Amino acid sequence: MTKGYLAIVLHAHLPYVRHPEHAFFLEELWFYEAITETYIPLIDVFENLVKDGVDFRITMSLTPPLMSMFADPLLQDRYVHHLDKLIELAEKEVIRTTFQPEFNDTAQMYLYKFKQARHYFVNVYAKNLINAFRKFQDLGKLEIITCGATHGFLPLMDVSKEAVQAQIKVAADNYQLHLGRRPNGIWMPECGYYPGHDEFLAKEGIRFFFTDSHGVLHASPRPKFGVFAPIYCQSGVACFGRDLESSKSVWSAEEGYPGNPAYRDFYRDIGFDLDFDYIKDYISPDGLRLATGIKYHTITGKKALHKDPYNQYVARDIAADQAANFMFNREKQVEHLYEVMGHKKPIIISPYDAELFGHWWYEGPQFLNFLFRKMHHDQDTIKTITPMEYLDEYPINQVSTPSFSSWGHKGYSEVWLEGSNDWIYRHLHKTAERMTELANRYPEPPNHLTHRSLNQAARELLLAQSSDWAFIMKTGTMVEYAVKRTTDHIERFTKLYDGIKNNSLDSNYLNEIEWKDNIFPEIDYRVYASN
Amino acid sequence: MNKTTLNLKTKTELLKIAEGLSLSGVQSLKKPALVDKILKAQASSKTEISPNIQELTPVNTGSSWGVNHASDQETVEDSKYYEGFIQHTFPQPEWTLPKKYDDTKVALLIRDPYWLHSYWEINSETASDVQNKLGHNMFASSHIALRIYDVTDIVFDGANANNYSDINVGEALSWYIHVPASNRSYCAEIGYKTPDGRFFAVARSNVIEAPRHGVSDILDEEWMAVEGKTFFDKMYALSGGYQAGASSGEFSGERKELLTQKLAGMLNLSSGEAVSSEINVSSPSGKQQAKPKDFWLVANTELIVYGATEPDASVTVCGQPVKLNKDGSFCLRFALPDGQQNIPIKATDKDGDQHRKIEFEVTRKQI
Repeated sequence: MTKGYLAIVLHAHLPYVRHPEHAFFLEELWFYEAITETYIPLIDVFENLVKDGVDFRITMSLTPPLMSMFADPLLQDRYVHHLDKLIELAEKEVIRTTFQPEFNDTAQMYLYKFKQARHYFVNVYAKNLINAFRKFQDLGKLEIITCGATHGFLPLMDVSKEAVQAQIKVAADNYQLHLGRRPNGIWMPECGYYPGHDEFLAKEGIRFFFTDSHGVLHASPRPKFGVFAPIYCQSGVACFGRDLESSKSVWSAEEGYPGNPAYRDFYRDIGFDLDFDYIKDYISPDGLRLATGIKYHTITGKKALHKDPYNQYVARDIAADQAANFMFNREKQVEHLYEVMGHKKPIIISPYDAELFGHWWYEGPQFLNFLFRKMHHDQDTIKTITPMEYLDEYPINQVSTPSFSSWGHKGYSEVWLEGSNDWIYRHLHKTAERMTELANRYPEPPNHLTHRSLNQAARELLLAQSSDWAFIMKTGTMVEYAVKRTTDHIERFTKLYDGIKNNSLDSNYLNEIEWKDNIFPEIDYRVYASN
Repeated sequence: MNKTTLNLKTKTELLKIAEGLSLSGVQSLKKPALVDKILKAQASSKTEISPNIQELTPVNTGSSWGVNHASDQETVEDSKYYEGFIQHTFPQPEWTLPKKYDDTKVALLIRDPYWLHSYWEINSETASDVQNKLGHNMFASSHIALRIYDVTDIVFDGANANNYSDINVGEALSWYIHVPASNRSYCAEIGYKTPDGRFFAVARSNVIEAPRHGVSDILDEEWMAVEGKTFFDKMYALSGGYQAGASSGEFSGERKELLTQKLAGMLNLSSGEAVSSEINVSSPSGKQQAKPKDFWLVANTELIVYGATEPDASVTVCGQPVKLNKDGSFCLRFALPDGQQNIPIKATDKDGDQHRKIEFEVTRKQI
């Protein structure tokens, strides 16, 4: 009999990166790689589970910037072009490795997968992957939840309540635009919760959100069931806390599943290894080497300078073993909790970045595939579930206020508020203050040009607020780009603000930035008005 | 807390405050010395962030892999943005962010249970106002101070705070503030402090609630009656509140402290240096991973096979069909490992009745 539940939550997010003004733009690759290595492989797993009659439940957040990119025709076409080049490269690789059987099998694997990706993308889902996710939601297997409109880190935005509310409302409205109904749940950006923000969720009819473990464990009054049952905020919105045990086995670089030596190594890529003349058409047009996605080596070992060739069958078997191990541990965990909790069924929340599966951990989607199949066929102690289904079964829960928390390094705001990025907040807050000033001043826009400008100003503010920029400034991956995005959007906002206030709007300038920053065509600037 | 308030406290209370500030070696101090030490710690418990925060070029540049003490999860999340060991550079923008907005305001941001961040501005109009009120000499000898109020459980009216402490911020425009207690609410004011200790506030900030960094002491009355405290301990343990690996069956009262300690460790509170946590985390000049000092060389060989036939012929190389260019030529690149490889090249004309073959035997040996 079922003694407990497992809720796997995948958070899929990329910042809105779209540069129509350049034929090739490096940072757009983030999106193309995520599609090829994470989103399509996950969709492929879901397709086959459904086909084989395996019942499963999974929750995924698809953030508004990501959904907007999925639906954007320019990015769709650019992705097909990118994929065609990858297929061309893979064909060459199959030839090049003719005398290297240890690599040739893997080359053929890539060729097959890229062709399959193209088939899914172009033929099955008409170039818009929202169609795929919506299909699984309609089949009742997937619960799609929303996120902050541009993934703004809300605890550091609290200075302007209107800004926090706008991030939630614009997201919920955008969700409805793409999926035809209101969202049940939300993934707070970076799990960043500040007490009181649940009020904004309640206003949009959102029923649940998630926090890191200490968000629930340190809630007040103390939650009776730890993280194994949701708590209700004063507003009635449910809060689910992350389970540490199931998280660690996947996330940990030392002890976690993805670190197995036979798994594919993330860093060794032919973009760096092969002769320049051969690879130059497939890296940056400036001649900068970058990752192509074709990787032939295994992790092998921490300090290994020589890495072994990848074998997809060995890796797949390991994924199957690890899935069995994960399931076994969850069964034990649930059996124990069920007794301790007096026969109330616990829910284990296991959230991950979606991009962990496939992009970072190449075998990740296979792990999920095996996990769902084994859970369906090999036992009946624990079942997968969505948070909404759990609330339907247990509508009565303890009332408690979660603690301010995030799932970022060190558990609070530090990742986004430290020496490399704290300078941005003075500007973000001022911009939000000005946006509210504009929204309050113009309950009705005086003319069409001003109306468009007000809406565009709202877009610029939202794009500047992406927590990705502060994150990248801290980790140092593509810092100049993050700084540029922050500055560009505040510049555009400021010029619009000055133009509106001084009645000196430049319609050419407006046309240009409307074309470049075209997220949320449906936005209404009045979402920033004070209540 | 100011000197007056501290002097009114008992030594036991002062020792508790000193503990909260992570001060060591205080047990043997006499009360006046203890008060001084606490005042000093409060005044210096900040991380000096360069006043040039508004500079656009952030501190971290270049490849960051291995430099920052990122958690595993952060590394994975960061991999979304990773394209290789390159930095995408852009031309200098024409427009730059303004250094100031000509406002008089102060804001508080929450970093974690023990650190706040504040930024502010005082515009020239306000400065003139204050100068007029104080008189030229008094104004010149005053300094700008950030006053942090503890406003827990009160509606702050400017004078009814539980206590407060002042930080001399000089010309800086932002500050990291260490707060000694958790689960308290704070509000900040920026203003001028005269040499005789008067404070003229010019702006007040939002109120921030710093979270508790442990479990709540409030146990719901209803549950308490039925289950008792041990039940909470068990659920806490199962939720991972204790060190990983502790069996959920065994626990004791002391172990409950472990999660709070773990979090405290994460927040670098255990050391006496309240200042250090900021720098440990973000400084790029911190612990660089030493590059292995071995000098390296890699080399490989590839083979290019090229040829031509009539454009409408069909060609196979090693049994695999090959696509011809429009002019009937072809070119293939092979990785060439150690050993002997046979490369048969066969062409058949478009009608299928004429065949040609050229075969190579290639040996590579690494000596």
